[in-house]
Amino acid sequence: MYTPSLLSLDDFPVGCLVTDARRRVLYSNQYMMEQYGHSPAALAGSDLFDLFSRASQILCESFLVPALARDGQCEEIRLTMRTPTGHSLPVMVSAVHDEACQRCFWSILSAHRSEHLFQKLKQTQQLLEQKVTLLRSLSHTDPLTGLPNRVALSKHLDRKIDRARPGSEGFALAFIDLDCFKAINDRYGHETGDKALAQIAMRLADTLRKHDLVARFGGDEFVVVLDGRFSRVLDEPIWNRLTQRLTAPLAIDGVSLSLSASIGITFYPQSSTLEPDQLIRQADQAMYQAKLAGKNQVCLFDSDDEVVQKERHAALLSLDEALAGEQFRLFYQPKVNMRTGEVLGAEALIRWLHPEQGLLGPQAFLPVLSNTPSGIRLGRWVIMTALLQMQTWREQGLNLSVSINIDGYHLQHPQFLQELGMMLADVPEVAKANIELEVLETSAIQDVAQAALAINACRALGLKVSLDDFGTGYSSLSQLRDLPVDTLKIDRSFVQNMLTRPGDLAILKGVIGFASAFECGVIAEGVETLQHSQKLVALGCEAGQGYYIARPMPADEFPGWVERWTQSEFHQKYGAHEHGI
Amino acid sequence: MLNKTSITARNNVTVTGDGAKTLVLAHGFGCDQRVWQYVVPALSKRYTLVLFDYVGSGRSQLSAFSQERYASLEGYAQDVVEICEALDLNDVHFVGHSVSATIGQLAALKIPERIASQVMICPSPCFLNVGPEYQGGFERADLEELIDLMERNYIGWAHYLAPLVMGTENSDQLIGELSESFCSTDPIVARVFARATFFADYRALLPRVTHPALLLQSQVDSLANPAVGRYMHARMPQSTLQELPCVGHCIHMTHPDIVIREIDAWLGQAS
Repeated sequence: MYTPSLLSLDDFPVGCLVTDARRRVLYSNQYMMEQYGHSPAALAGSDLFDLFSRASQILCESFLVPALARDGQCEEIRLTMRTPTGHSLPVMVSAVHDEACQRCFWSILSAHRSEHLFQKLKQTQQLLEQKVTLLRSLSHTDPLTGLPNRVALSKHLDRKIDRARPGSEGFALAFIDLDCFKAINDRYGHETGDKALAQIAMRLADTLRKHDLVARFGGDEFVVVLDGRFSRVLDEPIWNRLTQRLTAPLAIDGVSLSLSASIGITFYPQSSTLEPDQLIRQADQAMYQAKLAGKNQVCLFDSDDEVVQKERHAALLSLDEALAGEQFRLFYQPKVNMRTGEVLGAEALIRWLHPEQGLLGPQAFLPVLSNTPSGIRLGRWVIMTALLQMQTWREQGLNLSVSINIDGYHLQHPQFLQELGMMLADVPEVAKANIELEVLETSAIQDVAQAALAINACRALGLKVSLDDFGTGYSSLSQLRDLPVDTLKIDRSFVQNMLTRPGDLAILKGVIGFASAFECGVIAEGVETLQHSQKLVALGCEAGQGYYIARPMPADEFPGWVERWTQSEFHQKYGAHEHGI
Repeated sequence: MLNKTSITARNNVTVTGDGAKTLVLAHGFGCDQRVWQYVVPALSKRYTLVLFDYVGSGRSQLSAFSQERYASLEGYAQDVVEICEALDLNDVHFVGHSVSATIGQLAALKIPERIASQVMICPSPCFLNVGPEYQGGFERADLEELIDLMERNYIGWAHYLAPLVMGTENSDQLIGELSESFCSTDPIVARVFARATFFADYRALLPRVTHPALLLQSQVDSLANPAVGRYMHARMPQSTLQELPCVGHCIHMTHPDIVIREIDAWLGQAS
């Protein structure tokens, strides 16, 4: 082991310096001479900081000296050393004080290696910056169209709503859905479809001002956000411009495509505070209205409409509660042969025994139920209740035919037949032929073929099917051809007007004729007077129901009515006139 | 609004000592209020001391930093103004080190009624050499190299990668304290402060500030040479210049006794 006295500081591969409290050089080793050209003689007594560049001196004063004063040492500060020949060299400087702060010991190392590493680190940092920028832009960009995507849209709206101040000008948000775009994919392939989307995207971007935003929301849906105050009317020129740009033909690979779009628009701000998602939903709803209204048009979101929606929702809730609370009742209205007096059966009619408003007819609550899950639930309850009633009557010795109203949308429900089968299985003794399904709102049936399948299946089960309100609705005639039914029910409006209006009489005659031609039965509803009955019988329609015969009544009153009717009432109402008694 | 609590948190304001006279101690570039640690024990016995960190330095709230505001010394002066107003400080003796001497002058022009006098430690109104009539000591290229060297010393690099990866929009999550290491600053913040400090020329302020001022000049100072002190003294109406037998730019750290003595003398109280 060497003893320190045998060693010289000149042997170490590091620049060594000692300075006094005024930072004047007291000692420097040989390495300072060999490596940097600063001879001990030249350095002796000079200001150490003069060895460094001016910038290095600022670092020394601002960082190194405070660290020395505080900690007594400073490690590895990167400075630039100046050589006597005017060169600049990167060096790594460390320093430590003695306890009395009278002397300071310095080591000065070449920083070439650390400089090299720093360069690499800088490159890596720049690369990382580029990648992060790229990633950030990718996560906000739709790859197909290059437009901002849904995430970017959401952030954009967040920012806009966040920065909106009272009195600032606000913006319009348009939800654009291309009409029948699927057909293009189906017919020309997805590649063409994608090209069409890209072109549409470019058109939208070109139509807008620089600070407006167009984003691809998904599939063939785009969202446009336009800054500014807009008159909240449809004839703003921008909406026309958008529509025109979207409908101009597209040329893709030699194929000319014509597209159109349904556009829903909403505005910000509104009277209540809104989340970005709500705005998009509003515009989406308005777009849906544009689709319903025949596509290729613009609809404005109506916040009043939203109020209606809320009321509707509340109404459905209360109807669900009424069903759960067993507030619905079925009333039965007799159907008779107006010539012979024979009781043909009864029609089950729904009533709501409202806890506050009393007995409500179907017009008070059926419209809101149309095409809703609540409507389907109530429809099921009607069928089951009527079937159970038939069973009860049967046990009482009354084998009545009962017609049960079915809404068109219920008939088309995928589970309808299965559920009907299960309900029928619960009442095995009820004769199937006594069960008649009266299909309501047939004009709302869109898929006639599917409805026909359902009707055929019901008939195959042995049930009868009739079309309610026949003669109203524009598609009745073709339905008569396509829907295989047993009976047509003549709407009350024709019956009530037939005595005064030749047109109604003509239709009524026509319906009776059709029924005969299609070999199905016919029954008239709304028979309110003896004259109605007489006219109908004269025209060949003997079956009828209406207030003249009997009002709808609770189930337990029905057997008593049947007895009274057959005993005396028919004769009182019809006998003297029809039979000439 | 800016109240006492929020300003105190933003600028990490510390009030210590008691005495009728109030001293606001303002650190210079590269450091924070801890540079005053060698003078605080003595001064706090006689004066009320208000210490703080400029936004972007020390334990200030980084979230309050704005490149726009702090790109010029006026932004830092606004910190001083807001601290004086929020704490309702009056008859303030403003002790500013280096660039803070200039910042103090800017503040004094805004709230002259609150300022009683200034003590300028190693001040310089302009670090650049401007023509033959003024030698601030540095060429523009020197100061560009400074920015570069700061980066090569990884000043503030600890704060560099996180915001890059997390995204600038998440910078709020990085709020709060800067790294604990001495004199550390955020890289962007440090660069902004460096540019505001070293590239500025506030010589025109000198005759405009009429408060009494004490200039403490170090005999050997790479940043502010004695000629700069004399230049300032010649142009400041109510100034007193003391050239001290000191070496270096941080004389309040390296020669605290001398600085304390000068401050006491200036405030008329022998130590």
